[in-house]
Amino acid sequence: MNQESENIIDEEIVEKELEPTMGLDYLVEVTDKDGKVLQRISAPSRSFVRQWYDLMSAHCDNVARIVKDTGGINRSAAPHENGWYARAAAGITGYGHRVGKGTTAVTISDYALESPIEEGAGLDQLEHGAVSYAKPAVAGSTCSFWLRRSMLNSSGSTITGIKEIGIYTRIAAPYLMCGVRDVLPSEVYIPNGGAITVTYTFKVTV
Amino acid sequence: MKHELWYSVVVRDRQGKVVSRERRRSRSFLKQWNQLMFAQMTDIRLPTDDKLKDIDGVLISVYPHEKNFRMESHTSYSGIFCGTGDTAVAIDDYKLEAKIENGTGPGQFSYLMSTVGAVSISDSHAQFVVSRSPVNNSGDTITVREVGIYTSCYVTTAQWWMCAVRDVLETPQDVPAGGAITVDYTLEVVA
Repeated sequence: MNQESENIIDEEIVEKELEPTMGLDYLVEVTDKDGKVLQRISAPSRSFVRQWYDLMSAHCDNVARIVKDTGGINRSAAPHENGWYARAAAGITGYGHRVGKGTTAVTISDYALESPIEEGAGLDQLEHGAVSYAKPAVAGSTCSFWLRRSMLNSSGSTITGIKEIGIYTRIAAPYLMCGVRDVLPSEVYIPNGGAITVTYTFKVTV
Repeated sequence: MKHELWYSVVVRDRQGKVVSRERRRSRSFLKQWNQLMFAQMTDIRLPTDDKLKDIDGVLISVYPHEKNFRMESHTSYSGIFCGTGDTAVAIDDYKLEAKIENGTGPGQFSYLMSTVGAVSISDSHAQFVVSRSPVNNSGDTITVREVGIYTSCYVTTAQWWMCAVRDVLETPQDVPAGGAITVDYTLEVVA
């Protein structure tokens, strides 16, 4: 055995010893018009999608990179103070949390929700509330923060078939990207007067 | 989803021969990483009791900024660095325990530049690599026990520096005089 082989650490062995250092979880809650919880789904997020990393690479290297916007158009995105901005005000759907009826499994190259629900009080529309947040906090060996958004069904009818969720963010004004997309394990329905609340928790753990 | 950070270190002697290497999953992004991402995503300045700690231990209220997360460029402040500390990583570490400084004196590395690659896609993977190859021109062997990444962060228009990642190596790496150590961090997500 030579010196080199003696000093090689086998990553396949050590991989099993460690939990992921960065995580993203989601919580979906559906309530009726009285606030009673009808459905709750909590799980690790299926995925950040590539745009998140394209923008991260741009910031880390301080250069422009191509980032696909939510319309599927490649944008030359220089690092920008608006990068990843997601704290949308009420009624804004260009960024912030979105829900939709798409059922296609997540792929790394997804650039939008498959069938996002639009803003409004019409048929199959939701009134998007403002994005709220909890500041980064340390608990044990984890630092986490969350972003949350509630969407109200004022359409007059139950909205069925909600199956996908995600986060849209700014790339740089005026461009927008999808940074996260998840397909729920089961369909969600929102009764008239009810709401769906989506919480994403970003965490790093040592 | 697997959202991961890997590091590899490769030590070469003065002839360029690989004498040692280690690759494993990074122990961690640190608290500062999430604090800066929170600032970018919300445009919220963290209040006094929650401020971000820079590499000198100064508490700062970071802003969203176009040059947040810079890892390229500056020899002494940003990018990948090596150190001799071996205290286990904690979530609130704010610097390498004993950073090896830039130079050619005893116990110093010539750091050269950090580079950042573009994202590559393979099947369900997206990843990019941050890399640096410090050279040991000190005249004596230097033992590396920790590695990490420093990045820029901003308070209005003023640039500060924070430690985003720190790892203690499984095996201390002896970098011989005239040799070099290449440290690669791979940020990866698997959908």
